[in-house]
Amino acid sequence: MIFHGLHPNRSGNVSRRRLLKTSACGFGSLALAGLLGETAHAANPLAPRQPHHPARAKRVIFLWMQGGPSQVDTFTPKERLTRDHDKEVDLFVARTGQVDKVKLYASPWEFRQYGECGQPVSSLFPHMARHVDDLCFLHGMHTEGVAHGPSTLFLHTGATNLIRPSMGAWVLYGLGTENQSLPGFVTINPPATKGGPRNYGNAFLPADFQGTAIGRVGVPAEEANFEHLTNAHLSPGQQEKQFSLLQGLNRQQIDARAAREDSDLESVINSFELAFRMQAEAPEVTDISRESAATQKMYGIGQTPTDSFGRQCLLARRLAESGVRYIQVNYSDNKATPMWDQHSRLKEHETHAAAVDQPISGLLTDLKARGLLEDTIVWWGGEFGRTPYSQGKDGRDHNPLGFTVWVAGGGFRPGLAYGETDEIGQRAVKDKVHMHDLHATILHQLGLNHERLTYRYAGRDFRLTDVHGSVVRDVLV
Amino acid sequence: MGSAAGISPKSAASQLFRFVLTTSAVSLLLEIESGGGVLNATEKDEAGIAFFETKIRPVLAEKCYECHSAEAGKSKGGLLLDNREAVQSGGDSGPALESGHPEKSLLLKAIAYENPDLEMPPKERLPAHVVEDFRKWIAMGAPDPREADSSLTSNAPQRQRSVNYEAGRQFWSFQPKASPALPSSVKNGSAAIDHLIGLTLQENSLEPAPLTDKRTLLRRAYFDLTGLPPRPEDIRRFLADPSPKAFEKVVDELLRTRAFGERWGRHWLDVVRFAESSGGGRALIMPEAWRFRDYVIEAFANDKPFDELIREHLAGDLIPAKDPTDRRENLIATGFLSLGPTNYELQDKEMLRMEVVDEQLDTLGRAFMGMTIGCARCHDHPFDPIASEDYYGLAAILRNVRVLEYGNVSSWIHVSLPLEDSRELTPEEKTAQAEFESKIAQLREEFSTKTNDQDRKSVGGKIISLAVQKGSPVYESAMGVEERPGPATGYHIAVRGDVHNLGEAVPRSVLRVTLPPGTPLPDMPENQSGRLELANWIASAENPLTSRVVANRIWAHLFGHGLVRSVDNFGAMGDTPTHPELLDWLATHFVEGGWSVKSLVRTIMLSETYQRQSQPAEDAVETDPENFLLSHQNRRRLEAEALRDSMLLLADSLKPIKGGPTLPKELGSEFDYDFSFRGRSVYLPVFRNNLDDLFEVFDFANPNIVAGQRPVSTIPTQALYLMNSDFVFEQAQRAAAQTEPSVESNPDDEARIRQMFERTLGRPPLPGEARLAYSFIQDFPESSEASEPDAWTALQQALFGSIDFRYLD
Repeated sequence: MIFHGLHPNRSGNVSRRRLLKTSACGFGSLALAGLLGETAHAANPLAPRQPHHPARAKRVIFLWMQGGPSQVDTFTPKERLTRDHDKEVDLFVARTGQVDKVKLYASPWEFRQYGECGQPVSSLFPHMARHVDDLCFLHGMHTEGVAHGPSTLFLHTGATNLIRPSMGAWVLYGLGTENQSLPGFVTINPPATKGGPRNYGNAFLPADFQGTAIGRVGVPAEEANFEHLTNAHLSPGQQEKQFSLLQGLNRQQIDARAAREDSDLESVINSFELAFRMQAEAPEVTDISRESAATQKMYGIGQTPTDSFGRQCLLARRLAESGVRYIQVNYSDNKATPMWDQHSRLKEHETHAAAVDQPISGLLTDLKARGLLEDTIVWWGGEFGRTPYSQGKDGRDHNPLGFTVWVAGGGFRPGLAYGETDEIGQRAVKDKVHMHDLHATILHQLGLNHERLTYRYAGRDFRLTDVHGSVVRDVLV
Repeated sequence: MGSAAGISPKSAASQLFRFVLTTSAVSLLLEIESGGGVLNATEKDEAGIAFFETKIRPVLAEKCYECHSAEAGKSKGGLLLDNREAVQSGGDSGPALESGHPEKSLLLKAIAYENPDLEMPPKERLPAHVVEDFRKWIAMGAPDPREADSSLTSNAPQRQRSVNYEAGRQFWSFQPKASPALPSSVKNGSAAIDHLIGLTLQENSLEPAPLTDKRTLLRRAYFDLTGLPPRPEDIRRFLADPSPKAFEKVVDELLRTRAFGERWGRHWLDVVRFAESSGGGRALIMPEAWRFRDYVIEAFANDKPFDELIREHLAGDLIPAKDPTDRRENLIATGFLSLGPTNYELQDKEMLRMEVVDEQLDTLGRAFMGMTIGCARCHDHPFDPIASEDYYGLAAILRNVRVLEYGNVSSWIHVSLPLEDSRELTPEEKTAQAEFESKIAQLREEFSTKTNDQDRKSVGGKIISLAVQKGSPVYESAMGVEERPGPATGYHIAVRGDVHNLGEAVPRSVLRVTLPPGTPLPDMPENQSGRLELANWIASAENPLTSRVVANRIWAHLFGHGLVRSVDNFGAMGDTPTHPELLDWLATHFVEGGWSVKSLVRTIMLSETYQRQSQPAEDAVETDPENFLLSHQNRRRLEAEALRDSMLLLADSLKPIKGGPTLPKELGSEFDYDFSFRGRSVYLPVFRNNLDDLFEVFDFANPNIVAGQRPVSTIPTQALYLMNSDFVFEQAQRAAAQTEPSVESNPDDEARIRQMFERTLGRPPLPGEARLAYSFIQDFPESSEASEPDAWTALQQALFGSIDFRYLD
């Protein structure tokens, strides 16, 4: 009645509460209380739920390229930059918010067209280039914020500064998850900076929906695992004994209180059961050594420089296959100028391209071969793009005004190039897609209406897309 | 419930239903302004009209009407482009065009994509020749034959222009506090509570639950007052005291402890979103934030009157102090305004300034008055009688305050604290200080001469590194605020919350709806920001919100829920009080008791209502499953701090730290902090992007938002933490060692089990528990490793995970 989210605030069945409060017969009505006295607390908030409309995709793998890869050096060649390299022009500069004199800067990389769609790809991504007919390119992206912090939060939560739930948390809130022995929202090796946990946090949504980290920046990918999943002190046999003691004590303590069912306390017992199951099952899922040598090789595992990101990508596939709803793979670090953030020495884009190109290609091949690409949305991109003009002698600055991301699978039109930036590649001018729009479109493919996926907090119904965003239907199959 | 419902839940409900809209629909409703419909004859220049018909109208129809026409039912930004008059009068940002002056016309700027904040059409830039056509058309006077279709415009939703304060005052929380009639048999405050609770129980034919047993009551009181469990000797003493005053004695004793300040100070720190890093992108360390934390703990430990606390939070620097210590406290208190989460990286500095003000308003509104003022930033509050003029009137006050140092990465400011002993400075100190001050003055001078943004940021950076990071060579500094130089001013309504689009001017103000009808706005002096007047109004006994909100929170800390369950929201979207008379009585009693928190806590705890058992009777379960009527106490879960501190206490690991800085001086980033600190949890650093694992999983208050009520979740990561974390294991090992047989005592296994239960749960084991524990100890599999944990550690750890340890009956 009052709540537009898919289920009421779970710290008490609020809709029932309101009903009682506003009911004319007040608390006298036994029938009413009986009717509504269901075990709302015990209901599992992570149980799979019906979407708003039939879903085209079931899950998301977001490959976050932290720092902001350059659009004009990867997927959008601009002749004008080559022609007018080093020429001074007057441009609106996002960082200063005014028109300044800047020098155009040509891409140092060669572009070639690939696939049937003829999408140009620079020599940075020879592996990804082979998949262009499966990818849907959004060349007219634009977003909010000019610095990493605000833009990173915007990318993940739809707000630059305010406290909002992350996209994965919204998705989990909307859809629940399929595997109750694993967290429904997993982020692999997330960075601690630029908003850190807020980028996978639940903010004011119930804690059930927060992202769970596997590893973190700085932890080698082969050691990355969920926290507190294993016991360093007790042997498995000892822990099993301890576990049955604990559940025995809990049972006695519940029974000592009352004969009747107490859903709050039962949920304590359930949480231990689930934790114990996770402890048994998660290591199996996260153990990529179970994959064949050929598969590992496809992801570039076992060789530099692809080993680390390759492991992350393969782990993502294993999680997707196991029913995890939302998976973020972070190509990131904790530095002030993270990863793709080449304010100088643009050539270092090569280092990053080399680290991610083959693993991403492996992931796409693998997902497709297993039929998973059908209902998995793979999203590649940074928090913003880079300027077509130089910063210092050989760098590029942040550019939220226009950049490229690609999306694959999950009903996005393969082989499509949608949107354009202007002739120098700075500002999106045609078929622009704002980050809010991308969020709305991805939710749409998951069966969620971004305007109806709301949660009431502090007296207001909040959305991932605030009061903005529209579904970009042109990019959907 | 009849009387409890007497505050018109029905009208509240119908209001709710009326506003069952998604946020977008709400804002749309408010965005839309009718285009007017008066026919207006103009001279028709035929050539001009022809130009319009061929070049302009098709573009408008194809590219603009979708969002700006009565036919589509949309007028985004308040703008319609489907009739002449509407185009001329424009939308929220002003007239869309100035006939004859293309360069001054907003419409042209928008389609020429001159400003990234206003690019139209939003999805696709118009071709250059089309933009040129519009330029010509405007230059020729924008001839336009279109008239408004009144049949359509009347369908367009009307904008709500103003808030009706008089109607707003009818809502329960804005009405003056009432004083319920009490029978003469009610001799004291605690009895008044029981009487008022009893009335609604009677009305609903419910019996109150019996009083709880002494053991349970003592444990409840210890945790509620100190956040720590009673020791076995405390329990023995209390059980052995037959006096009817035994409980009162314990309460009084515990109210005098510093632990009370630590416990209740922490409750308040939840509300004021205390943290020691900025959050946002950089998550800058706030090395002086601890002073505010200690100030709050002291304030609660010393029972500082709450109205005073409010004044100090908002305007401590403007209040006369009786001595240097007092002055220090007053200055530190204003850290309230500056320690919010801020993305100091924001490059749009005007926006940054407003974001800070917005955060301050949101926090003070909810913290002191349970009002979501922030909703009125972009439009009049959709649910509560708060208009944009109120919002920007309050914002004006805070805009007169300096809280930011401007730089590429900006910063909060530091204020100098007077020396505690108020001694004279030595000549060397005087010189050093003068040098420091003159350097800053020099930099500020340099800053004021810079016009280029980059240069300003660069000088700003120098000021930050000297004034904030390095600080005075003589004085200690605290986070705080200061008055902005120059005369204090009002502000403007920022159209749709956009600080670059200022509308109507507004004077400084308070929330008009809280003033009795006909009362003028408080007079605010021109030479001061108006904060003191703001603080006095908030902290006044007549403010209908403040004392109710504070009393309700105190109640909530002792029962798990407030009488108004939405403790931070007393507006239309919040809950209504289950016991309005009791709430008013508590608020009045609180104010009359000199805003003494301790006195109200004491009154409540000595009531029977507080002391009832938490186990409901069968009929209460059926008729009032959520215990709105308080026929019994509520079972509550221990918060993260109580859980952690109890484990440390039982392990004898708790370090006797009583405040002071707990961040290592050399700490560069919150991510480098290792959380090996073993003092009470209230002193454990709170970072916005990096919390202690235990805090993270056990629902610690989100330090980014006002959190008067913490969520209570039961999730598997909690279980994993209790089963597998090093912290819990370490404390279990140490706590188990505390029960180790020694020369003096050599208990057998059964006795040791009993001792362990008594220490951990405050009671002996149930027979079934004792049997389980005993066979566990006997059958515990041996470990092959040398560093094997013993069975006792494993038992202790299981007790830490058990329900009776984690819940308070």
